[in-house]
Amino acid sequence: MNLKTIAIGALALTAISASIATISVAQTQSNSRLDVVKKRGKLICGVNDKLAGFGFLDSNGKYSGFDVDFCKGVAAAVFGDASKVDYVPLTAAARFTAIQSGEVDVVFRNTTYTSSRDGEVGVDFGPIVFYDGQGVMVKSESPAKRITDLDGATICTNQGTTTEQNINDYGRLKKKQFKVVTYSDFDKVMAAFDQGRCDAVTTDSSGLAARRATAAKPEAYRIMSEIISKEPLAPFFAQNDSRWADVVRWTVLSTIYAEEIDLNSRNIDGAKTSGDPVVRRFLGLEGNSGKGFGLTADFAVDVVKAIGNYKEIYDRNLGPKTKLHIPRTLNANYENGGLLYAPPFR
Amino acid sequence: MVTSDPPNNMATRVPFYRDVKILAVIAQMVFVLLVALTIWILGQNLSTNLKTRNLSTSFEFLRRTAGFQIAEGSAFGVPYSSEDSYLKAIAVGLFNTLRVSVLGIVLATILGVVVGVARLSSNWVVNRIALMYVEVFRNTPLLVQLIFWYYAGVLTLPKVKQALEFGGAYLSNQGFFMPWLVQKPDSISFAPVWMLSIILAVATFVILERRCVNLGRNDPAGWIAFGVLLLVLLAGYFTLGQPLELDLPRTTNFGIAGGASLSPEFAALLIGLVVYTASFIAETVRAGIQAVNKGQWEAARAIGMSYSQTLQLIVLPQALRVIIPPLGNQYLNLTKNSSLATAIGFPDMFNVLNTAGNQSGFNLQTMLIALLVYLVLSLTISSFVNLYNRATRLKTR
Amino acid sequence: MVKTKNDPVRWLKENLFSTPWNTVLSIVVVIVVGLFFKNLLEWSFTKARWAVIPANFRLLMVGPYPLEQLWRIWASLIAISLAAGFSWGTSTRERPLARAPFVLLGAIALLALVWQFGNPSGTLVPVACIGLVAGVFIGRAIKTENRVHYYLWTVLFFVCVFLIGFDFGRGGVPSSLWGGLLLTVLLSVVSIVASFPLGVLLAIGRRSKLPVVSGFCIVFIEVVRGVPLIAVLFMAQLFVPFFFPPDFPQLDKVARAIIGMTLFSAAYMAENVRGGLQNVPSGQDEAARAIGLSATQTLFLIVLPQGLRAVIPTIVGQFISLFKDTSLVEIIGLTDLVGIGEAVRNNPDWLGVTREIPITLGVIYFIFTYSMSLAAKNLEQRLKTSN
Repeated sequence: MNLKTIAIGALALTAISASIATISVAQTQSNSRLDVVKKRGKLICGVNDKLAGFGFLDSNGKYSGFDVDFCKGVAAAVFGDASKVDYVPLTAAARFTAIQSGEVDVVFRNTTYTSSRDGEVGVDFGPIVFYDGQGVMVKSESPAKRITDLDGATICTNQGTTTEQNINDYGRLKKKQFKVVTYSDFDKVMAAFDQGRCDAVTTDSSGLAARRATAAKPEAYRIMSEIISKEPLAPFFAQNDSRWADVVRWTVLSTIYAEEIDLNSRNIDGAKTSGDPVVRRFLGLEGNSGKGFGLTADFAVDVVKAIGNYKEIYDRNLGPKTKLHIPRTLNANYENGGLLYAPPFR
Repeated sequence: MVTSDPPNNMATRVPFYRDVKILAVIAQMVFVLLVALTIWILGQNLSTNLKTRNLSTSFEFLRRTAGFQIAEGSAFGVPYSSEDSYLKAIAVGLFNTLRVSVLGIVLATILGVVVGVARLSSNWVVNRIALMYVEVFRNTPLLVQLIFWYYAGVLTLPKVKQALEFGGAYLSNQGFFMPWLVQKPDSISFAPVWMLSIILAVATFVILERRCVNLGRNDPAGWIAFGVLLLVLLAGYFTLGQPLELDLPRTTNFGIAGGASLSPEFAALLIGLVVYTASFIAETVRAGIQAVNKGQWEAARAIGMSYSQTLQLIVLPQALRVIIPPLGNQYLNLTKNSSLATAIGFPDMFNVLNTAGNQSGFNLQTMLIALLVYLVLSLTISSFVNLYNRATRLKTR
Repeated sequence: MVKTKNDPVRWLKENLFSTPWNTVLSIVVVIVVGLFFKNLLEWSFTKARWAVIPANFRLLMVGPYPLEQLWRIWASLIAISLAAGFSWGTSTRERPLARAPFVLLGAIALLALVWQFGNPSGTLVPVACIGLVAGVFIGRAIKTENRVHYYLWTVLFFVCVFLIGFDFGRGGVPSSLWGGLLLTVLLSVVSIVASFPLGVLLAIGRRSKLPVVSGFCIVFIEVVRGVPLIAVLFMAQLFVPFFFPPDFPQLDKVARAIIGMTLFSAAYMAENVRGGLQNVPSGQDEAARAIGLSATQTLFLIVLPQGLRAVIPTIVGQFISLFKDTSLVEIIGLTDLVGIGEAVRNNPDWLGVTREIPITLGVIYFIFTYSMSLAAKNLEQRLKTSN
């Protein structure tokens, strides 16, 4: 090999890399995530893998839960096929960067909707899927009856969550000293709690209920009745992508709306003969709201057929027949005194 | 393929494309170009991605209120609360990292030297046990050891209600609490006395040591320096009007308060780091001792020195020259490994930065800070080792 | 230690009770260590709930890898055992066959048969053992060059990675379902292999006479060596996607972990390789230049082969520490051996089982790392004697 070849080789290399550069430099295209998802043929959904009832990975590698069902719903809306989802388990700490970096298309992972997350973290939120509040759980034999009785106690929670800040705010408000110890995931929090490192644990009360229900001895734990914060749980996705936001938003809303108009996975096929214009619009037989989101006119049928209406999703994962048995209260339909209220399909 | 030029061309000037100097310049330019190009591509991608995702690159958030508690530690003596800034929170993390690293380095060195010497002991039981220790702890991941020390070790201590009590100190799985001297409220600060006493003690030690070497005497420099330390402290205590009082730990509704405490997380991390690093240090020490010429041993024993005298006065000082560079590496590793604290919930710098990044959403910035600080720590340690190395190098010629 | 034959009393006297100080030391150490082992044994036979290990054995080995896809793992394992037997047989062709390893293999196969009869491992472990033995005999019978083994293992590497993850018409196994020991081994093997060429390039670059090139390499090496692996892994998780255009196919978590570990490992590899290159006598270089080889030829044909040969044991050592270091991916949320272990330990069905899991994980890691370090020592000896 002589020096001339080296020189020519180097020149060639430069030329090649320059041409690669022109191809691979990112363009600020206004490509919606929807196009990316459609092109890929699969939805990549960020979920929890350790919270029974919401997102849980069993030992056979299957995901299940309330949040997981909504992932399936989005896949059904986009592809008409609820199985076209790849799940990515995310820790509380990694969930926002997973959206920021574009690793996942949407995250359904019991995440609290807050102004700073919406404003500064670089994500946008979808509609609230679960109205929750932060609670505190102690061992049954604990002398504490109210949260303020825990003055001087060690309270554990997981890192990078709103709960970490809420408990701290509550302590400041009530002039109580809580020693807060945090771990990277809630499994570790529970392990430390069981071993007596902490006197109490705190997180969303649905999470506490799930933990208590799946524990070996649920009666060993007591969840205090006080709720110290608002925790509206909502899906989130990358900022400034309104087409993709519409898809996620109306997927969730279609399940709530279906419950309002008494449609469910079993009767929705039969409803096609219905003369009710509200039902007909929802089924995409009149108008074509789905087209506006870049979906099919009858995307809501696919969603409800695949995962059912909100009530079915709730009952399947959190309802009275499950171990968790969380009463619907705030999460009931507005007609039943809850907060669920879907804008009309028209 | 070698292209050999016809000999008659040799006399003429070398064409520019064969001039090694020019070619070197060209090659470097091409390399720089390639690197610059790669960096430019990556940078372009980065900036477009940041723009499309509306992420800020400013470090302004460091001055905002952190809003989260840190379980232990202070910002180098200044107490931290959740109303303080992110910057102060990070300082607490750095303080915790330094605390565990410095203590870890000291203890790991002691344990490592003991095990390393034990590896070469003529006593069969002792050297086999030392060998087993080294093999077990060197060949398993530190993370697994930390999980063991924390969940299967420290947390299996008695619960706080059944805390073991001895002489006013309490041991439980919520920590170790012991009586401690604290500043009385409204009294003159004792901190300057602490500093003065340490400076004087170190100075005494250095001067005495030097005199010993020069005069060939064997004064107990360490003890004298310790005496100086105590004397200054006592004198300061009484002249300032007894500004300190004993703070005794006492049981409360939940756990124990008061006194000085050692958290289970800190204890587990310290044990894990010390035990793991000591197994590596032991091997360096063993290799260092074995590198010392056998004649040195024999000569020392022949002039009537005991085994321990030979080891301390003849062998170890010589072995040190071989030991120091790898030892410095181990110190570096220990400091870097302290970042595994995240796994057991100890708020070291990496853990705090991680929390800060998650709470504020400025993950990129906090990771950059982590890289920079660890880099500075590493460079500091390695430059200290280099300095020491230069000072103790065998002076030949 | 003086070896004395058939005289236990003399041996004891020399090794335990040579001086009064030694006598005291021996007695104290024996008592302390005896108590430790007594408690350990007592605990592990009475209190410990070892049932947690067999109950979760598949999880620990392969994580959430789907049951119906396990044949991929078994196929890779059998292929690897055949190839390992082949290389083993070849390398020991000149020596008589040792009996001990075969007895051990037979015992393992028998145990698997008895213990897990009906389970796939009950039939496939013996098959893998037979493959290994068959490989040994093939290796001893067929004359091969060293080159054949390099090719064989390179091909096998890609085949196995392909087998484990890729689509065969019925859907592949996404990396989010790889776990346990499988993921640990995969991460460490892929990272060390990928870091090798990068490390060699960095080492050559650092030795370069061109200040820009060497400067760049030095900065890269020193920066990476100066920061903890966990920081590199977090950086890879957070930053890597930002450096690709938005329409670029997303790299999953495992791929990003591999990128992080490869960059980290490459910096250490570069230093090891540089050590090897420095030990090549400068006469070699000069001689090569004198017979008319170009600088590039000298480097690739003369210096590198000798330098790399000398650092093989060091590289094995580096692989050992990388193998241990893969455990850190647990912190970024991957389900490697430690990640799965943590999940099992925190499973409410196994409440209160705290020591069993870390101890078992420790033993698994120890078996791998210790046998590799023995192999490295062996290799070092052979390299020394062959020179």
